[in-house]
Amino acid sequence: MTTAKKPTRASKSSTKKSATSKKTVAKKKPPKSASSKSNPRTWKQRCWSWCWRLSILFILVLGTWLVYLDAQVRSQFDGNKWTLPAKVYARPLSLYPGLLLSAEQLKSELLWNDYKAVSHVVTPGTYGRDGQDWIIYRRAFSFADRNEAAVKVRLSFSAGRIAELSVAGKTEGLVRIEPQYIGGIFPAHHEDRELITLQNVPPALVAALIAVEDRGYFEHYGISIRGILRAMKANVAAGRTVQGGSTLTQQLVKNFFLTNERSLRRKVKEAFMALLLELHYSKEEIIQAYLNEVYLGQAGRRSIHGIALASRFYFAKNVQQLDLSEIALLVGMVKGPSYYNPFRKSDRARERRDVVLNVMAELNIISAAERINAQGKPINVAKSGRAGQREYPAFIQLVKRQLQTDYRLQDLQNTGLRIFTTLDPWLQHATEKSVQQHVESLEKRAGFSKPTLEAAAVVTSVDGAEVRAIVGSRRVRYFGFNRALDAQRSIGSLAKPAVYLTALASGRYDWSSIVDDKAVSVAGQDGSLWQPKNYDKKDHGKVFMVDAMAKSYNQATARLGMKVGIGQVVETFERLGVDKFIPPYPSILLGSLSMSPLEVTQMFQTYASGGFAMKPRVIQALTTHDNQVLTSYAVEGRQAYSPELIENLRYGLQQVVVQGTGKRLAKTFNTTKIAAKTGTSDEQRDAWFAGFDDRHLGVVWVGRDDNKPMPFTGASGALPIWQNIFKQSGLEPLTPLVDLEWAWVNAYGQPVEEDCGGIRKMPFNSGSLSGREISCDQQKAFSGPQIDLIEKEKQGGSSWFDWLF
Amino acid sequence: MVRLVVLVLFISILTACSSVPSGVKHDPKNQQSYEVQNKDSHKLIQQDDILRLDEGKHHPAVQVLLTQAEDARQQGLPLQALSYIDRARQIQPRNSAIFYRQAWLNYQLGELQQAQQLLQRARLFLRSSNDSYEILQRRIKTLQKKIDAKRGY
Repeated sequence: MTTAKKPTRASKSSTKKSATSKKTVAKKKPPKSASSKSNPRTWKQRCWSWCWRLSILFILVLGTWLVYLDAQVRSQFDGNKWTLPAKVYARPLSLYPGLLLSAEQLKSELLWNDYKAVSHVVTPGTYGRDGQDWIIYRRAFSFADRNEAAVKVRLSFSAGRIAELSVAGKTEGLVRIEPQYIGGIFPAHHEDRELITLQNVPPALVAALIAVEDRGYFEHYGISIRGILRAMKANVAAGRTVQGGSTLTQQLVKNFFLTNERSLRRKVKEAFMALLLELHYSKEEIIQAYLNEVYLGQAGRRSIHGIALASRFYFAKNVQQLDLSEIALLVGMVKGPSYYNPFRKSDRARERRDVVLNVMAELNIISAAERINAQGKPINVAKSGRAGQREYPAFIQLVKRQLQTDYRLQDLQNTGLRIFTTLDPWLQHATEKSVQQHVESLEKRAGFSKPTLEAAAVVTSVDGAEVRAIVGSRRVRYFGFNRALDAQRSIGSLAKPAVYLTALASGRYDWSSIVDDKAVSVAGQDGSLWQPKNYDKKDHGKVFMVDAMAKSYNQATARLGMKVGIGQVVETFERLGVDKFIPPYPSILLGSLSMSPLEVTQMFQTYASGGFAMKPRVIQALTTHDNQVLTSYAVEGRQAYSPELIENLRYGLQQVVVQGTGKRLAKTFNTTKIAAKTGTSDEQRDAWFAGFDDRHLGVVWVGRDDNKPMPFTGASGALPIWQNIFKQSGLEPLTPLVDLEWAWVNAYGQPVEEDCGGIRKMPFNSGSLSGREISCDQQKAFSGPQIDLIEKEKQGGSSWFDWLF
Repeated sequence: MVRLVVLVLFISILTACSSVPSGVKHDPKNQQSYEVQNKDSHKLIQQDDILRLDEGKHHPAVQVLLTQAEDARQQGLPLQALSYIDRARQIQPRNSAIFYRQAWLNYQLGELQQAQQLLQRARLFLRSSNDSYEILQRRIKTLQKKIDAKRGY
């Protein structure tokens, strides 16, 4: 041996003796080239040796890679396969005898909930009429508090209310219609799906899918050589890619574990993973995963995955309720959900459906008669933008924000939580419609050539502060800047009730107190002067305090606010629930304070609820995807002001409708029992309206995003929106919270005995009239010039403010 | 302590809001009981010492929910009971009996301040008292004593 090569593993395994001899030989080695040429066997041996080494290395690398892939496949496929977005539901519609409910609302809510009107009500999710009675087949549903089976409900109406309610012929006190789905809290990829088990999928759908996508599904082990060859042949013949050779398992692997990258590397990986998947899991498990994973379309930002959600999205049905034509269409769409989108390309979708039906008939999955029948049907899809599948961005944003104080965003996005909320779809639709219609008409009136105005609105229940509707933009489907939550705008005269409440709470003022509406000037620390003017630029002189409030006089309110003290007014804001720093400047008396519509709602909520300060609430309950209750919420709050005091204030707010800036509502609703306040900020940059009846509080804002002036006030810009919302929801006149004492007052604001020259009847806090009413004789003795004296006496003399000016 | 005193005071006033019939039957499901005087028969009968949430005559829908709330309470699910009570409140938002019951549940959950606030709320909607005032007042006092004893007051 004359070779000079290093010892290989094989030569290392030789005896020590031979190794020693090699060393000896090496000392006399000839030139290298000569040696190679002279010994071709050694060269071949070297090649083999390298091949052997590389093979071992390849097997090792491949083995390691496969172990890694295997771990990846198993870890992702075991347990929870998908990140499930939180599903958000509106409030369920509770039906009970005595409920005020219009037939229009009931019908709309059923339609929004994907109920179908039929002549014979025999399946859940349908409804019909039987004479004057309504029959609703309520679907089974897992409510937050318990699961309820499907039930057939019969109800009759009388005078706009539910008169009788029965289930299976038995009188029932309360039935809920399952809540409408109103959106989700999605992870970044916005995948949405409803999980389904294979047992709940119609066998025809599974058979059709296998027939069309992978006929050899039950014969191969993840990859199909025959399928690849067939696809190759078809593609070569067509000169382009017309057929894929991927099995269902490979498609699942691609969608579930990999990306859409078109590369050999990805294809090899896909094949190995498909083999591994088949190794570990049954065909049934794999097809079930496929049915839940498959992408079937797009709904705005939301991507529709899985046949269960697709069935609901395209046909407003459970997958079990699909007919052959719909099954074939869904299966056909797997090839290209966008290309065969039945909403936009119904002809294509129909052709594709017919192809699938032909294949089904060819393989005897369906009979020829069934094929002909199914192919004769038109493409009937539910509207994509219907209420049952649309989202409510402003409300969802508030839900997310409130939940994020207690839960991690990641958990909200991934764990399939079910969120039951307070949204009232009927009110929400009324609010959206009012905002959209009115903003457009305002723009027309103002002569704006392009969209210029923006608006926001919040509607809550007066007694529980449940948020029933919220609009964050005129573009109600827009997931962007939510003005209802985040726009900080000057509230203008909406601040005034807080000033008058401070005055009433001080015990020194009644609504009959005389206040002076004349020019006012307050010097700031920097020497600047604050000189507010009235909207009509006039002085109104001495007026009843209630008139100053009702007619929104700036000068009178500023004077009053300075008298009761800015500090006290700030304190009132805080007690009302305003949770932010309020600078103690005189201008806050007239609403220089910036707040969002939601913050204004919280402040007015305290007036509406009789002094009970509550935070607007959107969540009723939160459950896991398998319905374990995580949290349920009930009403919470604190009695910030006595009901008597608030009832007294509410009289002033009602006067806004009786004689003030909200007068137009009295005519529209034929009642003055509405409490309200208009608000307009400096130079008409913001138009506000806040008001409540016996059931709901509504706050509306209209303005420009660039904060420029507009030719509208609270009464002309925001009030009409409020009016339309309450027209549709139905207005219930206010009922008094407590009984106040009433007395006639004379021109000087003094309570007088009945029929003794009183000019107006006004409320007083109970007990406050005692000893104050003046007799007829005393009344006669009064004369005009004593007004100032009366006012000063009543108010306990002059304040520093009077001395100052 | 001041809060508790105020609470008892409010509860006493608010018992009138709860329309419990004078002849309430013994509920074998509740083991704790004590004696109260029946106003009609003037004989001693066994009564639950904890107010059942479903007692009294109510609107049918509210009655359904109060019964469910009582079931949940007996199963040791006070949060679920609260959610039924809240649904009842949404049907009759100014029924002081419902606020009273929610206050009671909050009280049992140790949320004294909230209970107190709700009792004030209930008082707002309380318009008249009824015959069950005495029975309820005694029940409340008994329970209050138990709670005080537990807390070592």
